[in-house]
Amino acid sequence: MRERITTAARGNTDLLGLLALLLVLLVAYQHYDPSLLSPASVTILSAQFLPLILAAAGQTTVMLLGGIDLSLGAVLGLAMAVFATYDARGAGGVMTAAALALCVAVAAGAVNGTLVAYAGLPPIVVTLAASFLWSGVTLVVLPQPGGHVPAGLVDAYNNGWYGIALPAAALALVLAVWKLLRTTRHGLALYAVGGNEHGAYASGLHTRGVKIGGYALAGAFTGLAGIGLAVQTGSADPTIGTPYTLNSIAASVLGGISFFGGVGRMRGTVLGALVIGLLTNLLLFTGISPFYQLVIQGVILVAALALKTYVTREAAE
Amino acid sequence: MSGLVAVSAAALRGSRAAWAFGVLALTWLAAILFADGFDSVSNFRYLVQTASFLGIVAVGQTLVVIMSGIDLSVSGVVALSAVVCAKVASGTGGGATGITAALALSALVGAVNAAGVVWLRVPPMVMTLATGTILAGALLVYTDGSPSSAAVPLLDSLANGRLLGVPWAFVLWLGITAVAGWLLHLSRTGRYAFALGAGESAARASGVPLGATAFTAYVSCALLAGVAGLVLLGFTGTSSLTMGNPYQLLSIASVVLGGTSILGGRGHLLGTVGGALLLTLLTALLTSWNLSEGVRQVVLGVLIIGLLLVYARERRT
Amino acid sequence: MAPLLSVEQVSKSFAGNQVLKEVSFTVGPGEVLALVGENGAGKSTVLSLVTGLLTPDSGRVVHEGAPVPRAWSPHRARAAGIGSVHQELSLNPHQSVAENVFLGAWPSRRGLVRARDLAARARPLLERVGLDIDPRTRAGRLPLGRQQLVELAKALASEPRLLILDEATSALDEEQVGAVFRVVRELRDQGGSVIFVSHRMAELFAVSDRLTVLKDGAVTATRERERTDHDDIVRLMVGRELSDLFPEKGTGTAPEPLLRARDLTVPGACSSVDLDLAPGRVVGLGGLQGQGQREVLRALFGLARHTGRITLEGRPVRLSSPRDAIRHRVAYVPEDRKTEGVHTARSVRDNLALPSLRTLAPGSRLTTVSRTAETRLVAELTERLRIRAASPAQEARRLSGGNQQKVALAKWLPADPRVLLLAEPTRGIDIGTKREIYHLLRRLADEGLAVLVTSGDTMELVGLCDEVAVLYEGRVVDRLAGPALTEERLVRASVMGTATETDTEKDTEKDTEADEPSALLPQQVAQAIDDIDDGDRPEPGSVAHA
Repeated sequence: MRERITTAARGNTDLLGLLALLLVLLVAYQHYDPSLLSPASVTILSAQFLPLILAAAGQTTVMLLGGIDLSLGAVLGLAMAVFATYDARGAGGVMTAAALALCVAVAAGAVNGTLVAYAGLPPIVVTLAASFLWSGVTLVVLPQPGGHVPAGLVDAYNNGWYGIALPAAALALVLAVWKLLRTTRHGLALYAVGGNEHGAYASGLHTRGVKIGGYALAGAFTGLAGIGLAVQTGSADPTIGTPYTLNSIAASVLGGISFFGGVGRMRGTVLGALVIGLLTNLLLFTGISPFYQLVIQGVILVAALALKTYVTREAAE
Repeated sequence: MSGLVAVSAAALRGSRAAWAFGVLALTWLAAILFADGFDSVSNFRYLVQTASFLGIVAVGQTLVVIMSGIDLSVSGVVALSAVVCAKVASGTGGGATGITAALALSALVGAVNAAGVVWLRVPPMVMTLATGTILAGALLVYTDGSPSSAAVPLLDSLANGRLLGVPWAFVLWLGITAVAGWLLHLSRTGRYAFALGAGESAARASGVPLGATAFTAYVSCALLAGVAGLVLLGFTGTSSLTMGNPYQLLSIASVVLGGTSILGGRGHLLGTVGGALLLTLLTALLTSWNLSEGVRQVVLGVLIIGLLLVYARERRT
Repeated sequence: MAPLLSVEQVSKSFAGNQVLKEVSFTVGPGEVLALVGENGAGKSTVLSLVTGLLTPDSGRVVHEGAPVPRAWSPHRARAAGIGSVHQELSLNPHQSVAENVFLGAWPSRRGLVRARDLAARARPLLERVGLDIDPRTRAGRLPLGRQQLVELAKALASEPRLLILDEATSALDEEQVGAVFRVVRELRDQGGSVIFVSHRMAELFAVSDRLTVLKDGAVTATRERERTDHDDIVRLMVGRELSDLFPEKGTGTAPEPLLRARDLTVPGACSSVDLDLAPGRVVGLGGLQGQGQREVLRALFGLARHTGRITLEGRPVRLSSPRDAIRHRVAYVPEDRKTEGVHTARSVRDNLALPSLRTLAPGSRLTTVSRTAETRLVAELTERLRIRAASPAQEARRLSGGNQQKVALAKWLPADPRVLLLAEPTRGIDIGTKREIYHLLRRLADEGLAVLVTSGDTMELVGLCDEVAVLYEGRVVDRLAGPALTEERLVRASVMGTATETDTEKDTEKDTEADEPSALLPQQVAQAIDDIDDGDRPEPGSVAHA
């Protein structure tokens, strides 16, 4: 038993530090807002954090393949715009709108993936150029902030639906799907291509297909994030996605995803996104001008990465 | 005949910078023939003037990309320099103090970037992303959300004035390109930058001064972004917190369209000049057709991807 | 009987450089074919055509009676029953051994791959290749030899009818090689075929039925094993006799040391190493692979953190970075040529000029580099070391391994170094260039340089060095010089970890045949002697997984 625990701990040493940081943040949060653990707070907070967590999950998928997605914010905005622009009436309409938005996001991801896999262009360049493309499409769909999300849905999402925190449920569902995916051939192939692309190719893996699939999956995560954001805010804004590109990278990097692919776990990314989200809220409570948020966020990102690099370097020597 | 084609194709593939100018010339010709207003001197003048703002930033970006770095904080620095100069100049400081303060701060940001990359070993993308975020926050704090406008005569004439009919901004850009070109392609520091970009461990084992080279590149890049911010301030007479935003991605796009490898170690500064002119021309063309913002971005994105596919593929090893 | 695989008249060129010229050979069912040749003879290229990594320019590959389709790929080759193991590892270091064994073809139940199921299926395959490890271990944590065996298990997982082993035994010890042979014979007895490539002559003769010799991209001969011998094969490989492989050694007494290292310790690699490097002397660092030789060199060049006292000409120096070392005129030619030695994507000219920029552009860093001086310098070095490049503008990766190594060495010469450190200077280099490099090193020593060489090639150390310090687990266990420097004593010290007690005359055994290990020696010694032929055995840790 003890052996098992130590093994588990060793596998997650990366995450322990992050978990500790999260706990500290939670304790501090509790200090300012004693109702933190009440169902209402959990619902509101999860509603607020879900888009970032999902966007970070998308970024993580791409980073595990050894790539990077600079068009993530644009795709997120696109999904949001499609979802909110579709004139949804009733539950069926909402489902159609969501399915449509998701399809668009997956298609955008697949296009990115195809360009990366077949064009011989580095992912950073492809997704950079694609970010123009997708944000342009977003503007065509929705030139001005607006759109419409049924009020009932917004209310249920942000304030709970028969006592169920919908965003938390959505998150649990997504994590479960990821966990399941990791145990399929596709999940293993994703890690295999990210860890050693040439080796995977020489072993007979269809690396290009794996890449396209990975980018499409990232598109799905990003699309869900966009839908979540639309439901949370009740409308859509074509430019609101932009900061998610950088924040998703930050959350992934904090969560221990390697820039070189093949290393890292989704749970780390979720923790990373939670840390960023909580920190933002905490700063609001402490009464520091919200203007300082960005400053502190940047400093934390650099500090966390520098510390991690330092620790791994010491361990290696 | 086919041999001749093959040889010239090989030569062209060898010099991607030439491609950038080739495409530029063709596009310009097409614009003159098929679009209205592109055949006038004033239009030409206006184009090179507006290209200068982007071009100055892109020249700095090239220096960083060649040593396999990337600077995502240029957008923040452009805004920083303009905002600081405007605030100082409109306050007690006066124009000269404003310009000095703006440039000094810009250089400082570059030094921080380099320090993070060299000493803390944070990946350049994350490091510059973080400084960019910090800058955005710091500017909010500094201006309280409402940046000031200022008329600085020197900057005004620099941005709008002409020398023998040629816009001063363009002259400045060419001057900067000449100096940077000498730095990158003729001086020892330039050789070191190329060596670092081609492979850091081999460069280290050959005694290349990693720190000094990185500092030179990042500080130059930030300084040039600062200069661009000042010229922009002179051009518009007002500063804003988001005025730098387009330059983040467009400067990288100019570098890559100019044939420089985003992975570092290969490319030519002149290509970047072609890239910046090409991007500006394309934008102007799309605007002249009265396309909506969204369609314009879509077309621009598709064109960039298409051009990259034609001549900027990375060799597979 | 119809051959299982026949390669018919295939040619292949890279950028105008023809590496295969109408190569043909066949492998029948139940047959083991050895492909023999020097590095760069085209063995790996022709095998890549079979495994679908490359396509031939002309000619064809016929597998099981039908030519392989144009869209031949590793994926299809594997599905068609061709398994392969290369020297270059294709494992994903971050995934478990079991996941690697079934890489790309994970057995799943209802779409799900269960870790426990995977481990259970991997176990018999691992046992077959003689590995007793937990299949859930991360592959990157295994030592190199075991990783190589995991590769073999992976190749076996697809139940191949044709198994290709390309330098698959180069990182293995005797016992592990035995396991590979067992697998090969098993496969042969079941009617399968094997193509075997190795640098160790003894292995080739132990396991193959026929040997096909490649030289400069063409087949020179195919011989039945019973009708040939070691000398015959070497003659076919090299194409000529090499008499003066090694230069004359230095004479006279050892001069005053130039560089003295005392108590040199690199945590985790070597401890309390004392070394004296004197002008005119070539000193070697011997021992089995990975006993700390590499780290001693890296420490002396400021690439590895170390403690201890180092003095140059009697004055204490601190070597905490390559720049420190270069300032003290210490030069280093690393074993990992393509990532540390040369910039493969840069031109020969840029590579040669890089360490000399300080002289080509004196003054500050902003000084312009003189093109004329650079051209002169590059021409001089190319001439002096006879670097064969199409032009100075040719990219270094287009050069052969030997010429790349010459570039890695030549670039230091203008700086007039006093100490020259070389790690595995002839690994993966053909014998002609080897000879050139040996003679060059001796000439440099005669001009007053102090040279320090590490090598896994015992013959090289004995033939080239004036003195060899033998490392064992990071410590110097023996120092051999003059008549005491023999292969036998070197190997003995390497594997036993102790100095030979008495100074008995062992000179007569200097000519120990590589394929005839003495029965008197312990097994490991025999293994080490086998390795003498092995010029490019990778060292643990030197394989990058980046």
